[in-house]
Amino acid sequence: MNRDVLGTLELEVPLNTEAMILNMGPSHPATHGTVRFILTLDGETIIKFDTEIGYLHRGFEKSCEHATWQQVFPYTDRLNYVSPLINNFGYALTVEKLLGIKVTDRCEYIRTLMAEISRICDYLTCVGAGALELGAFTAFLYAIEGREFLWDLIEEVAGQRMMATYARIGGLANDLPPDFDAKWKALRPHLFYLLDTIDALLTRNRIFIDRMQGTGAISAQDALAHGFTGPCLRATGVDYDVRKTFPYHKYGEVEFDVVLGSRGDNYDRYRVRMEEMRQSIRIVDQCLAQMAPGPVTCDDPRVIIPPKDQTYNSIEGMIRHFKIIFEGTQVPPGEAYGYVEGGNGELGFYIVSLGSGRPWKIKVRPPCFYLMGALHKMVEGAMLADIIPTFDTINLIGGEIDR
Amino acid sequence: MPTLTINGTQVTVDEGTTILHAANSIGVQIPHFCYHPALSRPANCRMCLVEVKKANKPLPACYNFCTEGMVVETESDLTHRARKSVLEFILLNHPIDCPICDQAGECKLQDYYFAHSAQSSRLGELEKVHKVKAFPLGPEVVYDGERCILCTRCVRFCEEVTQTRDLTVIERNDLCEIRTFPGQELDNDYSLCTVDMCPVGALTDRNFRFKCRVWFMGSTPSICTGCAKGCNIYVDHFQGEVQRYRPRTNPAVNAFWLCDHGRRTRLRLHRDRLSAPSAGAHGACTSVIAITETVRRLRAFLKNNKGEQLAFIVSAESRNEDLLSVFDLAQRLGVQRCYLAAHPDDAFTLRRHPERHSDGILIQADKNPNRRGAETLAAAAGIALRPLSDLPNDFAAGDVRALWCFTEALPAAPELQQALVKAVKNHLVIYQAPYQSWLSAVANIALPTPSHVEMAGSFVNGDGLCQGFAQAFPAPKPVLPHRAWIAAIAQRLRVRLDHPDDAALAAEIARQLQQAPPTPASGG
Repeated sequence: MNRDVLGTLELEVPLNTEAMILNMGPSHPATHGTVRFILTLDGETIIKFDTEIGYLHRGFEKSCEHATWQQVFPYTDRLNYVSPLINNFGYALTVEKLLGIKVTDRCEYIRTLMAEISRICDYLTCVGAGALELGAFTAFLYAIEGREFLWDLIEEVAGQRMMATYARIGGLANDLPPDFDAKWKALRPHLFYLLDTIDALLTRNRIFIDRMQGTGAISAQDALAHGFTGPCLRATGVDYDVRKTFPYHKYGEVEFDVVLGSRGDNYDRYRVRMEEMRQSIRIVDQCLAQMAPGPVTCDDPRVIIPPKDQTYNSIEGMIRHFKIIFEGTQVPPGEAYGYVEGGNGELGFYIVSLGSGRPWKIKVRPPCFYLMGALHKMVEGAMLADIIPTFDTINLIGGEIDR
Repeated sequence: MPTLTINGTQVTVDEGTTILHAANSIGVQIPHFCYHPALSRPANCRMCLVEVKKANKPLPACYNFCTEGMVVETESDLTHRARKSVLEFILLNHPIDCPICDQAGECKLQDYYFAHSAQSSRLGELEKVHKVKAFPLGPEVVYDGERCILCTRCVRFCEEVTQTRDLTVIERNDLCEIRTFPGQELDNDYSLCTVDMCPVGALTDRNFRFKCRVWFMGSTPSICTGCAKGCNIYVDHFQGEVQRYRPRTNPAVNAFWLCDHGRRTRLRLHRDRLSAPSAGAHGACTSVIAITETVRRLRAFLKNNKGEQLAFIVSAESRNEDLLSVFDLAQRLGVQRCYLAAHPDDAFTLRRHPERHSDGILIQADKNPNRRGAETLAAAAGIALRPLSDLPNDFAAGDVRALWCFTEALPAAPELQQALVKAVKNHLVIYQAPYQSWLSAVANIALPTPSHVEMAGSFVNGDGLCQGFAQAFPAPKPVLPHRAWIAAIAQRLRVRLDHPDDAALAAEIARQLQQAPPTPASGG
């Protein structure tokens, strides 16, 4: 071993290092959604982590001001595009609040169960893609298989796999197809099989645990301070689920458990999502068992467009259709905040109407915006490789974080 | 002075006030089809039925006068039921025409049905009564019998306002239709007012039918340029093209009306436009080249001639702002000869009396929107406006050796035209106007300006009332207002104008006319 003049071993000489600034994104394979991180690294340790959102900015909120209340639905699809139905229902619920209309029982049941199906899609994508980025490609295939089947189901209901635009102000575009019940019953065991398989592949997998457990942790206190909601908050042990705390639709009439973690790390977030999918299946089952036949839209003629045969064959239907389509549903002046449990937490819509057919202002509370705000806390001091699982379980959705 | 209660609010009104007016005075709107503030009240549509306590049935609010102690309910169950029934009745035979109807989007029937009924019809499978479609009532107006709700506003308009009695209701019951009397047609000078007043799409304007859906159009308050009356209008436009003129209510000028001839002036707005500047050998060129060439020619001219040998042709059609700029320039350059070009009185005449140039209603003999403005501003600048017929002789006498024309509104008389074309030969002619004319063909330099809908400004009407108008849409790029051309050329000629910017111009106009033009309210 070489020694220098002072007799110090070569390996023991302190290296003159300096922090390296590394740019990650905005188009990085592991940052699904265009977002940019500016990392300051000391070796592989993250000293500083800057998050830069805004690479996906369509001006969702501003666009809404130029659309009629009804025309906003396709925009909401594109918020969290992995669970668009929840966004549809959340927005519909808010406008209905301002209009003061009550939707039918059947409509509420369908909204509840379709939201849960959407949630399963959301979680499957999050878990599957997360596993994929840690190298577990097999788990991803199982998850996406489940999502494909569920999208088939959504397609039969809404006519679209992703951008469903299924909700209407005061109801839904259409009822469930007659064989929905049978198709769900046929799919259900396979869904459990897929969840069990993913579970078996990941939950007790040593490598997976090593990557997930203890990484990206945040305390309950910090999570609350940053405005966390949804699975990321529940993983820290805070019992808050909009569905349970402020029940909407039919969540008050179905049984399900709020799944809680304790450490608030990546592994807990994964476990919460896995268990919540099973709870969602439980909710869908109960909705299907409880709901009775009936109309899926309310009967307010100034809100609901008439059936096509009336539009084409009667002047009354024609005028109603014309006024609602061209001038938009006239929403009384006022403001409302409506919120639902979205895929990533509390999805809120704050809307202001001046009494016209178009929104004066729509402000969205995108749940992952607040999660992104704390991402630096979760990875600073950790290793470079921890960014990937943490960012995955945070589940940023570019469309939702549109600012 | 009866005191009555409307929806729980006490209101005292003059003797002879109708319930509808009394309600309106406290902000309660009562829906109505047949009632029109300028016409008699037949109360035949029944849309304004309201509950009056102690009356044994709902009463039409447009017809009944307020009496002492009357209690009126405009939002009671009975009133609502009456409205629903009336609308159901009116819609019984109404065709399913909204998608092809020009009125859709500004239709009272749509509005009232949606606001006051929105219930389904009980007609079921019964066939509707079919009537005449697209029946031409006259040169301007087309009638659709099925859409007509027989409010008779059009009939009463022809009886009471134009007093021409062109229209009547024929047949009985559900066969009723509006028609002219045998051998006549709806050809009075105000026939298109019936289209404005028609609450549904039964009467349509032949020049506007199927041209543009109403919800696409922007609406700008403006002034009609057809004659010296200065009727207040809305210019309805879409994608930089004027689609129609609509009267804008102004009791002091035109009340609710606008004549057909005035409306037709919009048809020439987009025809024969001077689209790009052109300058001598350069041909069509940019505005910079045009200005440079104009300055070069003017400098050369002023070197060898006196300013007073340059003549201006100003227009009784230009807005005050442009006229003031022109007179400003005239004073600076020493121009003394300003000739006034104006539309002759027979630019249009009454349809049924071609020998008459005016009527007692709106149409004025003077067919220029701003003759008063031109005269007042010229007088203030110490310039005597000369008749255009003097110009060939002045050229011949050598008093005038160059011409700068600020208008296309030149007389059509062939003698004058030929004389002038001959006179300007080998002389400098600068032509600065929105449209082409026989003079633009012989001009050395042509500078395009905006039409009046493409600018904001003011006109002084025949009664001396100064009225402002707003810009509907901007002119296409190489087109500059008179003021801008003049300012650019004056600057290059090292001539200082008295009123260099819009604010100074507006202030000077207000001072000279001793009244400021009211800024028209937008929208409508």
